[in-house]
Amino acid sequence: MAANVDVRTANLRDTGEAWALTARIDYQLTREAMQALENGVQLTFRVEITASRQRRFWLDPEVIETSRSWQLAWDALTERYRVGYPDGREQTSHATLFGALNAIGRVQELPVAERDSIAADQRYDVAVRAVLDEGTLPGPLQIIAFWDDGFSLESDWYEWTLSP
Amino acid sequence: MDPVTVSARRATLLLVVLCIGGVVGLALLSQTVQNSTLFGRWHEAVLIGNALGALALVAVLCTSVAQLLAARRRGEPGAALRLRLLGPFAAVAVLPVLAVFLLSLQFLNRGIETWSDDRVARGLERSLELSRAALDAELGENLAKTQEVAGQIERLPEGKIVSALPGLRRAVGATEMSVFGRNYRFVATSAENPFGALPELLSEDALLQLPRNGRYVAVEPVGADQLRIRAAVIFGSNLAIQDSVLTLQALYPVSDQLGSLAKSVRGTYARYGELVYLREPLETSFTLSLTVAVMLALFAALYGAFLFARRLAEPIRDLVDGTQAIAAGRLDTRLAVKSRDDLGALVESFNDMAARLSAADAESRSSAEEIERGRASLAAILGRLSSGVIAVDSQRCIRMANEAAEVILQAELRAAAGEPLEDVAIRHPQLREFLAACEARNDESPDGWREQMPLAIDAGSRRTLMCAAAPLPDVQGLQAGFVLVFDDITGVLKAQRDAAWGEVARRLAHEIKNPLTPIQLSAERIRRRYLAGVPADDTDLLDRATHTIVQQVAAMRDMVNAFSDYARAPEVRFESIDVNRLVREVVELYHGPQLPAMHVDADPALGHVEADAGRLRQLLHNLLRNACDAIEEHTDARVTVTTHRCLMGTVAAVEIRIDDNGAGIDPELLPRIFDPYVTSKSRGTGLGLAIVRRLVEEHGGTVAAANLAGGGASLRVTLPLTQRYRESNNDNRPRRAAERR
Repeated sequence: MAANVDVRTANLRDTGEAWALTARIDYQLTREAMQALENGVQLTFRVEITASRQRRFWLDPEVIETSRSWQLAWDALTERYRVGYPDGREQTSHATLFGALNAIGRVQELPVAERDSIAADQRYDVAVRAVLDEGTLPGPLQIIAFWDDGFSLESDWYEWTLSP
Repeated sequence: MDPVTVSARRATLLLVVLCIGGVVGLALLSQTVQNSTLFGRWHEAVLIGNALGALALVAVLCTSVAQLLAARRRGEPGAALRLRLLGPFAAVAVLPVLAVFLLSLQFLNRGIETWSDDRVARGLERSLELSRAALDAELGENLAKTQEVAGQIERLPEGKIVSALPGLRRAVGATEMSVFGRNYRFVATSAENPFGALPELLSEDALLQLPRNGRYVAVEPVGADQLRIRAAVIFGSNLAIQDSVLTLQALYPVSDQLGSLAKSVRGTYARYGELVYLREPLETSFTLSLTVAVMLALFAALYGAFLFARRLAEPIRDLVDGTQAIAAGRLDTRLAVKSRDDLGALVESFNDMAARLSAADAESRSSAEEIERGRASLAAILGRLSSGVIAVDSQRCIRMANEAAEVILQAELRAAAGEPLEDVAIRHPQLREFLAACEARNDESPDGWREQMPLAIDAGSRRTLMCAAAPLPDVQGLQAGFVLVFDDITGVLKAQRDAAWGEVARRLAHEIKNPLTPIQLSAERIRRRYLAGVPADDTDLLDRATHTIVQQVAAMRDMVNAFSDYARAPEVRFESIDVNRLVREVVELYHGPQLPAMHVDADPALGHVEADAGRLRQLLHNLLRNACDAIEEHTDARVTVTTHRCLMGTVAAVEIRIDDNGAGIDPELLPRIFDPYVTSKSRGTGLGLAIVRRLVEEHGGTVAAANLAGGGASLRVTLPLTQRYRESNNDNRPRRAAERR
């Protein structure tokens, strides 16, 4: 199946305070996901970041393994899409689904790791991907999602080597 | 502990584990269905776990049923019963569960169906529209206020905007108000809470709409339950700021009453929408959960039914097994009493019965052994008896006979047990006369008798038996008969006769020998004295007469010596003798013009015989002379001496046969030919063959005479190779001795 989520670009940068992710992700909802959204089901998208130090003759240790989530919901009264972090911060609303997905897919300088978790003189394999978090769907939908591909939205891993 | 118990315990354990697992699984399932947050996280796992449990049960159940069917096909005891029990048990377990399942499914589906009601949905739509209409009114109001403020700002000098903005904001009740210049850069801003977040930028939608319409107004959600109104207008440049277009954005809260109403409508609508949308998945997942739960319960119930059937059938199967074992003769079979109920009592009775059976069996076995021992000892005693014993029942059938009876009568009697005497007589014609005589005697004196009986085994040998018969008492249902005890007294009689003859011979010899010497002396004296004195005519007569007297006296002395030899034989000295050589030596003496042609047919493998050389030589002389005498007058007279190996009973022996082609033996004399003074010849002592028999018997051998079919007589002498088994009497004892070895 063609991926409906695609990480176009991704980059990890030292902002001086932390390592921050900047990425451009294309989300395309399937019919089933769209239907669920329009019927008031809140969708959670998760961006997963892993970084492992390259080592010779030994297993590569994971130095970063974290994720960030965004919620997308449809507000029937105002007929707008709401986007924000699960904790309620950074709430924005959009008149179009395109705008909402665009807002989610535009990750700007998002701190993901402590500064000292990545050393300057090492090489790291970094990978990023975005998925629809099925675990946050309502229970009955999870069971459906168990065999219905309409709810498995998932990008390939976007990988690059980081040598700061 | 037997394997059946172990497997039963294992099965029970498995069932208990499955039941606990099933109950836990069902509890978890119901928990996750009730609790929506748990539902999400655990429902899948619990469902899969329960499904796996159900599958495991199905596997166990299928295996068990397959085993049961296989056992049934093999005809194992209890299998059929278990199958028959399983049917009703399974029906009782399954049918209610299935009924409850179907009813629950129906209730569930109908219940979920009733959640969605078109009227409610329409009502909610309407209330949503109503809320929107109310908000629209507020939107227009707020836009108008914003446009008014924009007009006021337009008229302000440039430097006054920043200081005038808070007042203007408060006047219209906005929470935040910002003025943007070219490229939407902030010119001034005022917020109700100056220490809050950064001032709001223009939203994307506003940026899209403003260039076209010059104004923008919209209700925006803030979080899940708050609303605000965003209004923005573009207004023209004032005199002070050339070529500049300004944008004013104001954010207004929704009035409290409208806000709470809208919040309620939003929440209800959203929840209802979700509920209706989730109806189908919910139905599916509930049905799935219910099905899995029911399957788990169902299979557990079925397996329980299976185990119950097994437990119920187990003692019965044990009983069947035990009964078969007893039927097969394993009387030590006992069953373990596993319960105190009716079946336990049955098992106890079975054990009781088995114990009694085994005791009875042991008793009958020991008594049978005792009887067998008695029979064996009786048979041993009878077997050791030298007297023949035959027991005959009232039907004249042989009940038993001993070995000695067979030997004496030379007939198979032991194998003929149960046969009538008539049949035995037909098979053994030599016994016919004897048996007939016995029976006749029996009829005469049924209370028992004792008598000598003649027995002709074959033409050449007559035997005399001492018989005694006694009636048998009628015991234990055996029909009374009689027992015949007999002994071969031929040897004894002969010994008596021989002894008598010896005595006669000795006396005769003594009496005759005494006057012989005076007679001879007298005759010689007469001859000496009167031979010269008598006239010439009488000389010859005297000479012949005295000569005859002397000669006849010598002959008489020879005869008397032979007599005394017969009566008083010297000690026998056994040594190893080459029989063929001895035969040739003796035969050599009988070659002569008046003698018949002698022919020797010697067996080269004959070997040596333990015998007294002198006696053997005498024996051969007697036989050869006898043969020569018998064929004296015949032309082409011929005597053939044959030697070869043979068996005397079971003892290795040598046979010397002397055949002639003379006139043969008078059949009337044949049975008594070896008795003294039985002869067909005019001359001879009549003791030749009697001496032969005596010599043979001294060697433990036998001698027999027969007429040849082509004319002539045949005398056969059989001598054992060794004297090891020789006994004093010439009966069949050498054979008996050999058997006893």
